[in-house]
Amino acid sequence: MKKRRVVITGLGAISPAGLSLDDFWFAAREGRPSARPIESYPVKSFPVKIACEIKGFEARNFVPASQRKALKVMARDIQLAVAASKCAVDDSGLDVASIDRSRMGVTIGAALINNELNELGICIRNSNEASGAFSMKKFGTDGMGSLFPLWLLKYLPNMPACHISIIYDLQGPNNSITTACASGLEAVGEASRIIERDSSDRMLSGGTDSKTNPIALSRFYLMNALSLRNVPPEEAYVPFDGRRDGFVAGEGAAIVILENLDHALERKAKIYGEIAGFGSSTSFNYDHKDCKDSRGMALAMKRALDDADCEAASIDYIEAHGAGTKAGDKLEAAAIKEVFGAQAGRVPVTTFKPVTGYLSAASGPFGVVEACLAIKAGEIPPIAGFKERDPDCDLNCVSGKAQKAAIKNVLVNAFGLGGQNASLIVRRFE
Amino acid sequence: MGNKRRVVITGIGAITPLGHDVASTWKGLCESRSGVAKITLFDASSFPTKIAGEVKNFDFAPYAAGEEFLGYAGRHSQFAIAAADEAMRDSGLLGGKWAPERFGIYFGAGDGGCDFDNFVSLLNYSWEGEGTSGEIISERYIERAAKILSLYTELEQEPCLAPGHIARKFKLRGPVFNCLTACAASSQAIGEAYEIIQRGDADIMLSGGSHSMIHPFGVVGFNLLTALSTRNECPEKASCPFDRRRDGFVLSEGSGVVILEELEHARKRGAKIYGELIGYGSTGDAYRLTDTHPEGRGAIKAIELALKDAGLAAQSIDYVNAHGTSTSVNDTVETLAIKKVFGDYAKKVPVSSIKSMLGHLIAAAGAVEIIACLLAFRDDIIPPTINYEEPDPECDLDYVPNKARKAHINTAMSNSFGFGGQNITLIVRRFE
Repeated sequence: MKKRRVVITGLGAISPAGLSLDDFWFAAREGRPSARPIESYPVKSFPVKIACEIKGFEARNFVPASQRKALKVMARDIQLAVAASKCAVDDSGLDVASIDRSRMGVTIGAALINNELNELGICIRNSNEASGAFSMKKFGTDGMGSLFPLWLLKYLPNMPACHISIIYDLQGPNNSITTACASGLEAVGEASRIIERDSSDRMLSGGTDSKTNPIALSRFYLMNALSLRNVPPEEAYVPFDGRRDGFVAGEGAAIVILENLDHALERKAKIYGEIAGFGSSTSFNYDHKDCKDSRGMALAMKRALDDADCEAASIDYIEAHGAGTKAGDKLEAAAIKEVFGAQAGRVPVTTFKPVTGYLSAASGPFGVVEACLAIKAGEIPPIAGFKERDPDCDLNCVSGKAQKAAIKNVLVNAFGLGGQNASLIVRRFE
Repeated sequence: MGNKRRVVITGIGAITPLGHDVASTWKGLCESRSGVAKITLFDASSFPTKIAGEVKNFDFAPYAAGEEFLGYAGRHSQFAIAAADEAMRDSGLLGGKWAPERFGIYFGAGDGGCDFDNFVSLLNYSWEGEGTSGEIISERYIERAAKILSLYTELEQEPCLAPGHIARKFKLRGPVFNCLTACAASSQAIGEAYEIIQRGDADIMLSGGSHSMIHPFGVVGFNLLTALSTRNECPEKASCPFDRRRDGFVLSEGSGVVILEELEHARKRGAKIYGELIGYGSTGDAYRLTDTHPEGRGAIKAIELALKDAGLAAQSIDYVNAHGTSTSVNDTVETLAIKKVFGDYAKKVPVSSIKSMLGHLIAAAGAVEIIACLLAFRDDIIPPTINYEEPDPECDLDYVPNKARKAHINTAMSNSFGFGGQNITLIVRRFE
């Protein structure tokens, strides 16, 4: 049985570089990092003072008037996903109202969505006795009364996909993948499988994250994963660079519209590329301080190559995961060497991450978006801020400005902290 | 379609409010026992809902022996590991020969609860101002959090940790996913795992789900949604799906794990086969966040798609394991959906909800329910809907009231519908 082919016909991105796809691509190809001093709250005495924050984002500009009421039950991650979806749908030129919406589904990668502290702060405050001690009895009455009825739903990881399906009335399969940093790429991979196997004709897919908030920042800090090189902010997050000491927290959502090739051709859609291959695997690196297992990453890449019926030598560049930690990048470099062998020092490697900051669930979909734009432009964007080669990451890292290239196959990586790895190949459509 | 790879279930594991393994859970279900009781995990005496289906007296220590990081495992991770361990042993795969690269995981693990005491003290520490007039000083929060929180306890809140632990413990190198689609999660995971084997990306998949939301924020969150039963005075009677008096679901915790295997792979190693997974349907309601579509649009379509996938007419289904949450809307709409698809046959097919006994295991519910369907094949017993006393005119099917029923069945359908509109239907068949 011949597999149905899956093509990408719409892109949407909301990132710290700006609220449009063009803003993202401009910063990516110019190599402009987005890290700046944190503005949304003061961090004078905390060792980490920078993040990649999205400025001037108003979710209400991205939803139809009839759905604005729902915005107050959407955490920021959800709002970003909803906004990026609108951009992707608009970009695809798809008239959603006129298609068979039972044949279009939604698969989104999401991470744990962090609570807004003031919301819970007041709830706990109201649960305290006069002495200031917390009382579970008061929590069950006054504390609960301080939260709004739909509070729980504001933070559930399946809600980005739910809100999007409601806004566009998409009744096909609806899934939410939660495998940390691999979530978004696994979501796009799974969405393409759903079209391939004829369970739907179109899918809206991608990932979303907002990791610049105090809860996320404190967790990343506990992991020793954040760069402490605050000055200058632009040079703090430099994946694969010898100076790297961790990442800068970021936020953003990237959404793609996937279509069965015949459906896309029938409506004469603009086609950015084809999902040619997808692979998922596990590694056993639970202890982040002692990451030695590169085999899982290599397996994901090999599976994607096999699935795409593609030799490693035919990959024109790699959209790396590029965690920016000492251990993480070294591990990814080792995995790339295992898969690419003698070619490893030749194939260009880049990552958009200094532009968005570190994302978990949205990371892979941004890689897919960048790959599509790179294929279209015939340019490989650089790793923004990359300067010093590291012998531990002996790869052909793209630095400076975008590099002209005829691009046919792009390998996108996304590796998660729970040991989940995903790789996906975007191919120029021919 | 004829040459698709066939997928059978060769191992099962469960930990539920009725017991720490499949045997005790199944025994409880067949004896019409309820696992619901007063909440003991924290003082819920002032909460609108004071009851839940807790997993009682579970000792995780033997599973964590020699594994430093498992010492931090949250309840949902603990349950996942215990149920996975049972399923692996049951399947005969533990210690056996198989290719790790061809053995994957598609799990439906929920999120872990927060480190409540520390979180509360952090919020109090970071509050500035009097009464309700102040707000959290983020900088105070971050600095303090970095000092007092334990990294591994924090990470346990991520849903990806449970499948990560399982992969590491059993050295599984195949494809790995976790979906968190509320109450549909583990059914969706099983359906997608079946697709992965069918398309040849793996030969064996460990699937299912685990969840525990019996923590103060979980109970309060569902209470705010008015989704939980508040019949606190008689915990074991509180979950009464399809009964006129139903007033919400009972929150429970636990895990269900199934081992899915490609048929020839299972045959070659002489595996015990519980049944064959033959149908999977998945849709989105695209209606409202909190309500299911009043005419069951998404549910109907999911059931129809699963039947189509199985190549079966509705009349070939011998038993429906309902989602049956005991909320007013779910049970009415599910009944409506079954009637719409099954026509006259709806009145004849036995439909039961084991949530009447287990409560609602949320992300883990569907996996335990598919296990109940497989055991119904094995033992020729249909588990009942207990607490069925006052019929609801809108729910007028054969709900297998109160007592398990002897019956030789060959095909069973299991429904799972998630908050937010994910509808999943699975169909399993006796394997002969």
